[in-house]
Amino acid sequence: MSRFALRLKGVEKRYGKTRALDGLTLDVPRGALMGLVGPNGAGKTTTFGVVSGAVRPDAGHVDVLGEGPFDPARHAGRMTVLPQDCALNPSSSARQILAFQARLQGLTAKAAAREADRVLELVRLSDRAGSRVSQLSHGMKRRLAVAQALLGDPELVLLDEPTGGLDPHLVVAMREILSAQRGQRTVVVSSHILADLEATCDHVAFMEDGRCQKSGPVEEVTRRGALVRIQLAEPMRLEQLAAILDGRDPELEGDVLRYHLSPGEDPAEVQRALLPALIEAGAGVLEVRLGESLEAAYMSSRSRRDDR
Amino acid sequence: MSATRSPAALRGLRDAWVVARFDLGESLRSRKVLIFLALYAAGAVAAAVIFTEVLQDIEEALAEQLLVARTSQPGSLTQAVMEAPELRLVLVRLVRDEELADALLRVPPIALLYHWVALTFAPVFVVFTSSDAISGEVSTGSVRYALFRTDRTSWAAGKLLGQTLLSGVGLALGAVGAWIVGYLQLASFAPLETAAWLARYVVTAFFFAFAHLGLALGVSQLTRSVPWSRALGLFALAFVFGAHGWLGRDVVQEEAPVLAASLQQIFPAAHRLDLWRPSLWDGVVAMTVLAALGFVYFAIGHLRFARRDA
Repeated sequence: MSRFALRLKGVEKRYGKTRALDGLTLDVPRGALMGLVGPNGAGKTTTFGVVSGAVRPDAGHVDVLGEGPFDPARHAGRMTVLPQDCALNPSSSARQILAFQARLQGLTAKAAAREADRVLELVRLSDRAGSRVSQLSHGMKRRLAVAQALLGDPELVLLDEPTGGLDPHLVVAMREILSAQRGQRTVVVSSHILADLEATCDHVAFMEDGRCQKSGPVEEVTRRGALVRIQLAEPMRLEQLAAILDGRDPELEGDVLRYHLSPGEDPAEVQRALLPALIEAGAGVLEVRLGESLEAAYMSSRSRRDDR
Repeated sequence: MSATRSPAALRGLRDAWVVARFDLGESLRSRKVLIFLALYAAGAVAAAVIFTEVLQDIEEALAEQLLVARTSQPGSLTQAVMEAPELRLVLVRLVRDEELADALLRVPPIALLYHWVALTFAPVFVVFTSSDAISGEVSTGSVRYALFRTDRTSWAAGKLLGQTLLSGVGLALGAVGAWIVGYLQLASFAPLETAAWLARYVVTAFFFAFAHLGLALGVSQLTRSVPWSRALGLFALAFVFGAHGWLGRDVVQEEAPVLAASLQQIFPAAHRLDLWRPSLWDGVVAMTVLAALGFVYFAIGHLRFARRDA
């Protein structure tokens, strides 16, 4: 069994003169909950299309679940997808659509009906199970679309903007649903809401211009094991800090102090040493965190790229 | 949740059937198709009503000629009308076959009328209702919920099967409507005989419709634009009838009789007359060829769909 649930190597896709994917290379480890981050037009949706077989790549290699490119004969029922902005059949009810899709995944009629009810409950749509899709609100349609991606017991789930158009409380519910998938299957989720991805994902990939700019475990990308970031109440001068920090060598940017951990250095020990000294010197400490936020890591990745 | 996956060969058929059932249900639940079905049934009923009124006029004229009492209900003199040499002459000119004309004169007139209406209008109806069956799902993206669950061929074949079942429902409804009109309007109506002939004509019309359905779903696979697929469907329909008619012109037949006659066979209209023949064998051959034509048209479109982005 391959270590990776999904591997893309040098994948290219053009639409006329536009390069949607420009040699995309990306590995998604089996069991990972990976966030795919990137601006509009970065190629995230095309990536999902290529992986799920809806879009034919011009070049490159796609390996789904260690068994080559997507092939319904091998992968049907083992991979599910939430495509972006795709309408569901308007005249059927939520339950009918889900039961139909579950049947296509190979379930018997009885099992499909049970499965439809299970995922409707999961996305809190049980009370609208009999409603036609055309009678559902935008948010409900989105939840129904998410529900179909959770049918059965897939090994790989691709979710393109699952929280788009959802109410805040449903965003929280969606986060819980995603977190519950951890350890059970591999999930790749694209979203513009980086805080959501940071809260749920253990891996992340930054995409831009059809390429993967950076990818890896969230801890690594945000440097959780290598950086202590302290938000101060007001800016300080470096000389003031040097006196307080007793030989340690911090990096100061306005009111943010970054301390780079040496290999093997215990972040808890560093905090135990730094925080009392800062407080004693009258520096208000607003927040202490390990590493950057995902948003900061993403923005710094973008600015480094822009500088180049 | 464990999925039971059958062997590959059976899985495609199973998936096509699952898609077809859902597609038929979705079509019957959609207002657009319901309106088309209602129009289709209404068309058959209206034609039957008009026919009975025309029949009454003919009977009244005949009654005057024969100096017998006029009838208030049409159909009292149907037998006399059907035996009139003028009608036989008209039919012989229409079908260009004396034996066939004689056979048709023995068929209940309401069934004849139904068959004529079905063969004339079913191609237009199936093109109107089905030429966006696949392009519509591609344009809205709903096809993307299915294509990671089954292969494109099974899905498209399921759509073809679903629309085929739908056209079968439409043709059967039209036949039932025609039978009811005959039952209510005609004095000398033979319910069982008419029902048997209508059932037979539903089957023959179904195969004629299927050939055009294959054409409609074939063009529906060429584009993701619904207006384009509808336009292409109508164009394709006009082409198959136009090309068949052109190949049948005397000038063409004289220039290249074998080639023209051979080329005509790839158009459904070439097999229409055989659907009228009383011989079961002629009908079966024509229906087999029409089914094959439907599949070929569909497959040509599918060659493109199987290779492009969905």
